[in-house]
Order: sequence, then C-alpha cells, then structure tokens
Amino acid sequence: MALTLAPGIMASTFAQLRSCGQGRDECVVYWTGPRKAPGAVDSVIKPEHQAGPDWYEIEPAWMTSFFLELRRTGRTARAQVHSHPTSARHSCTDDRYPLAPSPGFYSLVLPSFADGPIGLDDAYLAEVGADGTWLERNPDTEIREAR
Amino acid sequence: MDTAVTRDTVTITYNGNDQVIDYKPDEKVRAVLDRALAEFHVSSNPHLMGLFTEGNVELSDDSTMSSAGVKPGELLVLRQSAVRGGKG
Repeated sequence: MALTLAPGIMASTFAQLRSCGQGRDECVVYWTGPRKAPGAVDSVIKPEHQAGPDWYEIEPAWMTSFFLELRRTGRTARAQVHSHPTSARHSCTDDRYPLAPSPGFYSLVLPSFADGPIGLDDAYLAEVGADGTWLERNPDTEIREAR
Repeated sequence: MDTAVTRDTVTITYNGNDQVIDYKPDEKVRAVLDRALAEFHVSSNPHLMGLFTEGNVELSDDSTMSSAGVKPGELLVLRQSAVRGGKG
C-alpha cells in the first residue's frame, strides 16, 4: 500500500528533523494517518527521544502513551522517518528496532541530517514484508504527495 | 444441564489496532504474547516485543497472567521493548 502524504507533510518532516538534529544529531519522526484511510498520512509526530550523531532511541514510556493515543484517536503510524549523518541506508539497528515491525510498515531514511533539498533525492525506503523481513522499496513510487 | 464456560479476555492494542485475546489466569504471559504477535502478524524478532500495562509496566514473560496482576477486560499495550535506530 503506497503512502499518500497530505500537503505540507514532507516539508514539516524536513523542518522537524533539521530543527531537532541541528545538523549534528540524528532525529526521527512518525507519519500517522486515520486507521480507516489506508495509506493516508496527514500528521508528523516527533517522539520523545535521545540522539547523537549516529543514533537515536525513543523514550520507552512515550511509546506506550503513543500507542494508547493512536488507539484513542482511531489512528495508526504508517512510517518512521529518520535522518542519517551521511548516506541513507537501513542499518542493523534500524532493522531490529522499528516502532512497528509488522507487514506494511515503512521506514524512510534521509541522508545528510535531512539538510538537503526537501524531497526524496538519495532517500532510502524499506517496508516490512509479509514474512517480517525488510524489503527495499522505491521511494518515488511508494510515496506520493497530494496536491 | 448446561455448563457455563467463562473465558477471560484482555484487549491488546498495537499501533492503533485492537485484538481481544482469550487467556487463562494460570497461563504464562509469554503464551498470551505469542498469540498477540500472531494476531498482529509480527514475526520478526518476537523476543524484542513485550506486553505493557497502560501505566507502562512490562509484564514478565515468565509470570502467569494472574500473578502479573492482569484482570479480565484489562487493556494491554503490545510494543517493542526498545525502539532505536541510526547509522551506527
């Protein structure tokens, strides 16, 4: 299921990753949307987390409260988006510790602390497959921006 | 004569979705966790997943549901024990 981003989602994602990371630390946000609208993304959520130049970790209590909030509001997280200091790829840590390791969940990695042009140039996208393994996807075909 | 069979259930929520799961009070938390993982189609690194109370207390896999203090009808959260990432 491809993702359809509401207007402003991509710009907001870059703005939050840049503001938080300050060009020196990684950062992560989650793309969420209504559960009943498959593939729709209309919100960018920045979690409580700690980070350094090549890592991030989510505050455990925040994860519990986030899942409870998604339940309460009828929403779901469809992708995690995080920055890398240099090139974009999926590290072993990215593979093992995603927010939602179930089929259809996406992970988008943006290079250079997201300081490049707003868009998907040089981005890396993966999706959890039916057997639980990560499958590389083409970001240009899997992520669409609504006009 | 009919025999009433009562089943205890918990609601487990994961990434905004709910599943109602049957359990027995003397059943290990790990068994209930395994059923939840199957219902939500989580198959990779299952040992990294856990069940948490609404107050963010993780249920010990080796405890029974009753000794872990779980009450019928309770809401539990299924999530990764840790979420992290990075180039390193």
